[in-house]
Amino acid sequence: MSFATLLQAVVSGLLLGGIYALVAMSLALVFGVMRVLNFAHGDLLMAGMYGIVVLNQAFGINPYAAIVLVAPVLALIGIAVYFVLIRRVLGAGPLMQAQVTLGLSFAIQSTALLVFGADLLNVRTSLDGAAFRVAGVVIGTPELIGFLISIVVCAALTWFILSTEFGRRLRAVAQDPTMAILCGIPVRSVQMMVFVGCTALLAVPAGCLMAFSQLTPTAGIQYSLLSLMVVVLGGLGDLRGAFVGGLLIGIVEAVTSALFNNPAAPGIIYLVFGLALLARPRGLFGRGSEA
Amino acid sequence: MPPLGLSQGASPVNTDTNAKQNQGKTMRLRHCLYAGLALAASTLLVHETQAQEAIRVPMMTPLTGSIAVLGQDSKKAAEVAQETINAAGGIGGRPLQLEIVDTQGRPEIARREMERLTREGRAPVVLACDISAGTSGAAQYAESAQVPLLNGSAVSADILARGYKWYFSHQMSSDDEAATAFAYMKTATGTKPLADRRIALLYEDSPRGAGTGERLRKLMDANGVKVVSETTYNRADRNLLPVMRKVQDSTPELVVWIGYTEDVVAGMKAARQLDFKPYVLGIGGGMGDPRLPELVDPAIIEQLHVANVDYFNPDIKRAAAFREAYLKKFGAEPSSYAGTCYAAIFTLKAALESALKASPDLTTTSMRDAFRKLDIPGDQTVTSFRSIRFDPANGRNLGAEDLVAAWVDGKRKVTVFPPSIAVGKPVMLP
Amino acid sequence: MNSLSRFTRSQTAAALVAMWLAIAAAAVFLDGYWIGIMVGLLGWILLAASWNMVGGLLGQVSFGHSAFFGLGAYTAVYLATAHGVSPWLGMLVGGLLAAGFSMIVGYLPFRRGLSPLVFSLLTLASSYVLLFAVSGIPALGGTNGLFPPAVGQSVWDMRFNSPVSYLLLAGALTTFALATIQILYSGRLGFYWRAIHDSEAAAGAIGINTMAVKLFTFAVSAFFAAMAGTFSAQHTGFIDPQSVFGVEITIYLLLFAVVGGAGSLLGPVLGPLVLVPAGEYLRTALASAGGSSAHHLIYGVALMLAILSFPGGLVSGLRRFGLTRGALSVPDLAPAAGSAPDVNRTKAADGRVILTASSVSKNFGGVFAVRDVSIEVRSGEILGIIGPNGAGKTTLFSLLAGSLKPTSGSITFDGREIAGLPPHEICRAGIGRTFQITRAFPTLTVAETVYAAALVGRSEADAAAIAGSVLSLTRLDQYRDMASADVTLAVQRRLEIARALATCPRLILLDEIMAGLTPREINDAIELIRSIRDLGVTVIFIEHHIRAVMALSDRIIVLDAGELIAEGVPSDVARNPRVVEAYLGSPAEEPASPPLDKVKAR
Repeated sequence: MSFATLLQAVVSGLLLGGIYALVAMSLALVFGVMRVLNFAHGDLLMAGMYGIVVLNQAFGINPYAAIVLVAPVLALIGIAVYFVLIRRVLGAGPLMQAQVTLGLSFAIQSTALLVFGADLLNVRTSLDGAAFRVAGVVIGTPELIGFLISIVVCAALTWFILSTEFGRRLRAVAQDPTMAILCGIPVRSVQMMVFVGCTALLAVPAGCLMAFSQLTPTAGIQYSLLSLMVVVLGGLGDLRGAFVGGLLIGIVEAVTSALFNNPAAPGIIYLVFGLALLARPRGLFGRGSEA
Repeated sequence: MPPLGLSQGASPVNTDTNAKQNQGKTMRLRHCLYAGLALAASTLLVHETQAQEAIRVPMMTPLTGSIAVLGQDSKKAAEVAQETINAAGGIGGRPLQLEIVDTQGRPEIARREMERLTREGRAPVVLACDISAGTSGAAQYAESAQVPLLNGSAVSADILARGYKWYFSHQMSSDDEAATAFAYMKTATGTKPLADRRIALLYEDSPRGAGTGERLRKLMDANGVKVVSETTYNRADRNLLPVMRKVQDSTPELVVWIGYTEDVVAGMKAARQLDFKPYVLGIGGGMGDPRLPELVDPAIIEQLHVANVDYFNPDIKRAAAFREAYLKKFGAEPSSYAGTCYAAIFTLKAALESALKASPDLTTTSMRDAFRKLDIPGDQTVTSFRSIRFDPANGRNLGAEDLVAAWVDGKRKVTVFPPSIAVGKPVMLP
Repeated sequence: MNSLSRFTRSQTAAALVAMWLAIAAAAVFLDGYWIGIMVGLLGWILLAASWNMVGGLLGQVSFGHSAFFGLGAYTAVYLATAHGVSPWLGMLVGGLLAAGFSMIVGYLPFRRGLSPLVFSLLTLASSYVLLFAVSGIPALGGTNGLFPPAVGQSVWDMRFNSPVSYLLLAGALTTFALATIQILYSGRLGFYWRAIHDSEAAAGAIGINTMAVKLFTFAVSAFFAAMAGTFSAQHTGFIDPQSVFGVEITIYLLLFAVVGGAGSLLGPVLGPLVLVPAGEYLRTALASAGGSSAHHLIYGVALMLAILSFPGGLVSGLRRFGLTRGALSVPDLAPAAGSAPDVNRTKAADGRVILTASSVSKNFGGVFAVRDVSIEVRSGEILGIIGPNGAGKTTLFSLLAGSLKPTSGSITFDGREIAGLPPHEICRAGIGRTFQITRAFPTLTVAETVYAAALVGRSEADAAAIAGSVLSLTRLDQYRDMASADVTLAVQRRLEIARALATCPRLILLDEIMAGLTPREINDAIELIRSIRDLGVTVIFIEHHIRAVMALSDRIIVLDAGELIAEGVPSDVARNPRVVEAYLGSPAEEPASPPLDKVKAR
């Protein structure tokens, strides 16, 4: 396999990895602030993707514009999920959280199947198949736009957490909830707003993905697993780790599928993940919390 | 810059008032749960009344899971078939009732369902429109329990290799697909001989893709046809650009591509981004998906001169009535999955009629014998088959034959091969 | 009370009897379909019970048990098809392979004490690695899968025509697993499991080799899961990577275990018992009503409701019917007067040096928590350690007790180098400790806690006697059957001491045991420490209550900012200027005229 193709794989993987990074960051943020590992995170993303498709097919709205309309819907779903489920398992062990969110994942998946059927759905835009070449590497236009939007949103999220009042409260709750209560921060409301915000935030990767990707009811569980892996790899609660982890996993995914012509190839990602986790159990930057 | 990590936190505090509230909520939830259970239990009391004389045949198909589209389409076809058959008087005067069972494509569920259907339900025959994993699970049970199983969808030749006597594969096998693909290539090679053409193989690595892909490779090697690259990929791969580029690197003139709709759409868009425009010969339900022009710019399909080896195409004359009924009921063209399942149901009907003539009681043995005796001419089915005739040694359909349909203007499929049923001309390589 | 009698009185035995009665009834009265459901049910019970060993009892949640299930399935089928080996043997080989694989996967996480979530995801990754690896091996059928040989001639082939045979086989395998788990639980392993589950650090401190226990448990669990895999392969008649290594198995497994009640012995029996028929019924009932794809939705919703309503699982929900999580076997602990085999009395408090720390340092990324500390401790003495907060006192204890490794320096106990040894070995060498923040075993009663500590490395009879005498020495008799989580702070502290004492240490490390106690309780604590010394145990204690330190200590050492700044008899130390400065700060200099005065003076 030529070097150019390998480089192509790295670049393609990086572009998709940017979106993974955003999805993982929102999951890491939820974990950091409320210590809940949401196994239905990918299914919520999938719900957003269905929303984008519906808006496109019913009203012709392009996926990027539809982000703005889907975000409030996801926020509403986030509120419902928070009050019905998440709030009850705050502080419960990881086993119970896993079970409850897995139940949610089942429910979202089946609802999607019931409502939309098993057919593949996607969005047709004028950017289908558009690309340009840089130094022999082909960069898909919608993929690049998705990457750039994700990076910008990640940066904005980081700025928000570091520089705003709410961001400070958020960090306080993440670092020491008891102390935060004593300082007068309404911990429960912060947690709710973070969960709802992170769920609404999923509208962004949903739109970016639908600009070039396909959707079936089983997509949710794949993204759930992926974001979970990225978050743990990056270090639980470590946002920078989740970001870098997302980019890395995107690259490893693309490179292994390009390098190896064997059904065993996807196993390498998991092997790499396992070894990386053993080498750096507290995350890439060593700053993840002990769960 | 302050650290961005949100780590080193203790678990959130649960105050006393929260605990009391939670307890109340837990009790309410429990009541919801009990209510739900009571409701569920009450459905046990509800009986279904059905016509005593109906012939009930279970149909196993994956309605959920990663291949749910197969089940969905098969179910639609079953509804059309059932209506058509019953409107024409049913089978020996009795209405046909297909009972659809979800296997999720999983062998252990398929086996369990087979056991339930045959022991408790005493079904004399079972129809499976399932993927090879589910069909394998069902088939081995069918063989040990001695119940005839009619396979409507799975292409895998592995089951045939087992030499089962109670398994009847209406659907063609991957050997047939490979043979048709090769025969088509010989026709379509145009002015240059096939041995001089640069051909690449691209397929997804599940039994569906790999089964036919590997057989085609063997066939081509045996005939001295050059395979410039053989590339496999995982169906769930989200990023097919590097894979397509690998194929592009081998500069093929023709790419034989076996995949499902999802990966085929992703791959075609990637091919456009790479400015990669080989001729494409697809195999299977992916390239033949009637919804392809909705999912991908028709110009891309046109650019790639896509033709597809398939077991069904709505435009052939035989399928006209089915196509019309399906369009009327569902407002969409029937896919290959729907077509093949529909055809299998009619084969089932023929076997049932034959068995009923022999004796009014349907038993597993009478059904098996009926299947063995079948010899249905191809133009009485909606598929491209020459005939329906089962090999008693392993259940293979000896009359199975594929068709090749070419996409015209990227918008509709026209059957171009074999000449006996072709509606249009094959797409010649330049 | 030997193992057999314990077993016959256990919940598991009752459950097994019920199970065999049900099997017998089914074999006689039910038809093939229902027997098939029972077979599936038993298979899930087996798998859930195997998972529960690590995930529930031990508290190490595994997301990858399908790896072992698949190993069992593939090994048996491959050996049978490619080499004609009987699946019985294949089951054994598969089980051993799975046990070996589990030890590979578990070794590093257990050794390094990695977080349980990391362990969970590693196991998940391992099952995916196997899934894809097998897909890529043509000899194992690749993605096409493998068929076990067709129906066989003899029992040796493990392929039967009659569903009753499968039922009996499933019953036998499940009985074997459940009985083994119960027998292990009724012995010392039950105590070890509960201790590790409740507090791994404390478990190590009482001498339990946590890593060995975890690896062993994981291996046995993997063996049972592989058994389930082989059986399932033989029963289903076809396997492919997705069906035996797939994540669905893990998901359903977790469901059954949690709904049943993870961590209890009967949870893995109850969970499948309720959920498998329910799921089956849901699927078939909905199918006939035409809403086949809705069953997943209803299942998901019902699941969420069930888990939220019964967080402790069915076992806790059925507590009123007498169901418990599993009783530990604690023998009668009344101390026979004067016959406690008190190891300590034999070692005379002869004043020779038993513990030496030489230039011990502990460096955390550039910060020295303990710097170059050297101390000598004589047998039979009470040594007090004082110092301001953050002086490194608890770090020093952790170094002595083995929960931290010194960056440099050596520690010898009884002439033996112990620096860097794991906590359980240091405990066995004769050093016991308490923790600054009490780490009780919340689910154990007071008596069970003390007995467990005495049990490590001793016979049950000896342990019973030791526990009995320790309980009366620490005046915990009246709290025997109270759960450790329910007692008051003062009692908890005494329990910590009792637990450490029950390991028969020659040296005991007490970390701020008087913090938060009332003056009366402090006096009691002082008496207790004295009586511990009277047993012949050397005491080193960290304390902030100067009065207590002065009253108790034979000698005092003072730490400040990680360094030893003073050492000696209490009266000398109290007058040491460096000590005074460390606690109170340096005396203020003559105050310069306050700036305000200067301003006013103008």
